[in-house]
Amino acid sequence: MTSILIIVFFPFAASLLLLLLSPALQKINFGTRLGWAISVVPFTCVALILSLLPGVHAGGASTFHIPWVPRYGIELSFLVDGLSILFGLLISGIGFLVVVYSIWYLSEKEDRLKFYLYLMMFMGAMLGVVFSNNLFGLFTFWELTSVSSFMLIGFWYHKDVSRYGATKALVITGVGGIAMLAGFIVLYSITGTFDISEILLMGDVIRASDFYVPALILIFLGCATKSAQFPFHVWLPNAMEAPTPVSAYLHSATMVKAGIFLVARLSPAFSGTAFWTGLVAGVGLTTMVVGGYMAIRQTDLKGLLAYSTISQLGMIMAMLGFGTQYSAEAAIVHIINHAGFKAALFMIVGIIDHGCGTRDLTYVGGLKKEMPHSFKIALVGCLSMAGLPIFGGFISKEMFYESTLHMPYSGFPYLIPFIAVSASIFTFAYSFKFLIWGFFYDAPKSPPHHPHEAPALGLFSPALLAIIVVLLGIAPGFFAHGVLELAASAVSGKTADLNLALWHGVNTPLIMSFFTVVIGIFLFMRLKKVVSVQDKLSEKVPWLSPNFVYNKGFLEGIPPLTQACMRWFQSGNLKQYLSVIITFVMLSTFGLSISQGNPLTFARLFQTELNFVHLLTFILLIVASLATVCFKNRISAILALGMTGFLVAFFYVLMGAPDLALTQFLVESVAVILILLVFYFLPPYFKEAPPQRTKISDISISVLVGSVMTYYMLMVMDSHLTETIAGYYLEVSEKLAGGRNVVNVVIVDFRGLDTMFEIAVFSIAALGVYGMLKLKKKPKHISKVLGSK
Amino acid sequence: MNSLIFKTITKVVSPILMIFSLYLLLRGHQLPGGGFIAGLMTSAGFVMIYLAYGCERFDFKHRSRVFYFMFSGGLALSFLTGLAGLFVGGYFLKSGVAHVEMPLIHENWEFASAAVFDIGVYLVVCGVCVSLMTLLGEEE
Repeated sequence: MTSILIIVFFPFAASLLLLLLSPALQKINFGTRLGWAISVVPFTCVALILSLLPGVHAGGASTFHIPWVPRYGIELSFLVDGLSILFGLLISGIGFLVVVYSIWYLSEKEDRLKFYLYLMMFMGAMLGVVFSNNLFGLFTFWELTSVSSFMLIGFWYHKDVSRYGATKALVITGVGGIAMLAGFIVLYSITGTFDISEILLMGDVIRASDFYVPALILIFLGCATKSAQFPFHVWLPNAMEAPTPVSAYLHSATMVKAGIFLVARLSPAFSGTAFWTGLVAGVGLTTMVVGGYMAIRQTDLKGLLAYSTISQLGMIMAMLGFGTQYSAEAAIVHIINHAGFKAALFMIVGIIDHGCGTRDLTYVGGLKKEMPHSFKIALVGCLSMAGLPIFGGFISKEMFYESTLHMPYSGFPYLIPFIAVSASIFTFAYSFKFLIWGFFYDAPKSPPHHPHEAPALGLFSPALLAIIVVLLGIAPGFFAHGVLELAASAVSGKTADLNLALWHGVNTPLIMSFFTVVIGIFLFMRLKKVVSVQDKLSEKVPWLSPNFVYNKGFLEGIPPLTQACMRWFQSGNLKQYLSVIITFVMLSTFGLSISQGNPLTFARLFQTELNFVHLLTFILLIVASLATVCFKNRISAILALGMTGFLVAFFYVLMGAPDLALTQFLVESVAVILILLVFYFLPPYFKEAPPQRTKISDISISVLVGSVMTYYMLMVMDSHLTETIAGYYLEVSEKLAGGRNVVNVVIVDFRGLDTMFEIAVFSIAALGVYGMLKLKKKPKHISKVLGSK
Repeated sequence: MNSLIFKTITKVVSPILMIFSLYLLLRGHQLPGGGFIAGLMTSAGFVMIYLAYGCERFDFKHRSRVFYFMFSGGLALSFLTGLAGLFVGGYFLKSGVAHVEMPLIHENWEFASAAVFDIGVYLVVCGVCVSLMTLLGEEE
């Protein structure tokens, strides 16, 4: 099972290697060789995933664990079953084609190194998502895909639109990711495990739980944002600012299917209730209609494909939402169909963009003559997308219709098939808009360059995908028995038996398809009129678009709010910070211990024996503290403060704590000198007396701290010493850690992690001082940094 | 601080402080001492030198990098000890003790991985304190 580790971590290793070698690589002219070298990574992953397939055929799902935080059940754990293999093959297979395509697509001027670095990081993260068997592992990889997507959308970061798109994608998917994490925790409270394969067996417990609905909603928020479901779909069209290979890979074939994947993965545990169907299928169908409605409006070919992706994702989501075994099979079949034709079409758009210098349908048209090969590929892709026979898209659309006819929990038996048909009419129309406008009709304006066909290297990947799309239509059995059945049975929880065929005889779905085509052609003929009506509508009611909510509500609404909060919290006055922190800590902990503690008995207070030396130390301590407050001269005040420290240290000596005393002495000596150095910057005398109000608040805080600490002292004295851990440490220190100095053993061994963080904080403080003092010297430099927007 | 008495005392005391601090560091696991205390004591030695001589005997100003490396290196050392525990012992910061018969002197010496961690603590504490001192002092 080590091959699963290689599958997930090989891309990460490649990414890391690129990062480490980048200084060296930037000096040499690697040309296209880098791309070829990188293509080895996805190719290896494809081979390794295929090698896992026989095992799944023979013995079903298998898992593989590496403990991470064992106490909390968090581990790096992988699940190999039909679903993860199907997605793994999609990710690495299309990954390979995209890398090959990008060798042609990215010119010499582009930063190829950075591109492959992020692309490999994404591939590893995505493979991690689909193979994870632990919710936390899945979440970690999930967030990594968001981060790498952010980097790739912002690949041309000098463009405003790229940065806008990247931020939008990160914000929306990030918020969804956090909701999903909360959902995972709720799910844990139901099941008591983070292990996905165990969770999948606990479906009845989960569905019966009171937390079923909140867990489902929170996790679904994560899936819906990631898979661009309405109303969170708005990030996907803006993500099209990424280079085309990225759009083909992340934003159509793989990353946006992560949400679909998780819904599919968790459907044995969650599906089968009316709420599930209402939520998942409801959102999916809405998305499908909205995506189709928006897609026919687009003149930018990539925008058209983006909205079409949204629509298709909605369709898959809806099928998963129906929750029947048949609909699960249909969803799986459509996942692979969609990945095939959509990636091919995106690559064709990249070729058109390269060839014409634009991809806008107002400039691009009639490319059939200039781009004969691209045309053939686009023909296959568009016809499959439109759901016409002999292509894979036809089979899955028929299955979709069939599943709408038999969906459970539907109050209106004709409504769902009606929605399905109307959404598919949009699909038909925009598929033909892509094909006919792009390759047959002449455009109203001429493109910047005279169109030319891409070389064989650029055509290789989309052509291969087109062949697969055709094969999916004419020989579906090969794919079905190879992996699709296994995937479908992982989703539905029952053994699937897929009998895919193009011809099922004349039945209801075929009649529905017939109407789709007829009305689709009609809509396509009237497309210009429809679009002008749509434009008028969106002009009149702009607030109907979720984009409006994001731009006005989020981008313009949130910053003033955060700024107001920030100004209130971060006033820049250190004294105010400290007063707030100290008062809060004191009152909250005091309140907590009062509500839980027993009344004070003072029993041991009066048993304590005090001698003359103790008393003298006390008195000196009080005098020194008063002096610290009363001195008008800063240096005297610091020395008096040091004095209190030394007296406390002396007290440790009296009580027999040499380690503490030694530490305290040294801390005081070094601290006094450091404070003196700091105070070099300040005037020697304190400013004029603070106002009365400040004095009162200072005194009340001091009194509060003093009394709370006194209370704690008394409380500690009341408690029984046998309950403390000291005895245990004394006993096991030498045996477990080989040290007789228990204080030190506690510091470096038993509580080693605490110490590590302490020294880390200590180092960070030094870095902070460095920044403050070194940057202060160059005010020009700072203003440059802040002013360079 | 231009005082002959202080300069003379520094000459005698600061080496003792530093050597004694190393002694405290190495014995820390068994007897009072340890990385934190030793680090503070070493920095106290540096503070003395700095106060007595400024940059005249040791060029704190131009050699401040030494101390930056000291605390970053110390932090790395502690972290690597933790990682070593992860790979050898099974979890992060897992400690181990080895008893080794030393050649020539034929004594049984004990090596605790926690002591290496402690050296990291020592380097961080000392490095940070002296860095802070030089940073603040540079402004004078």
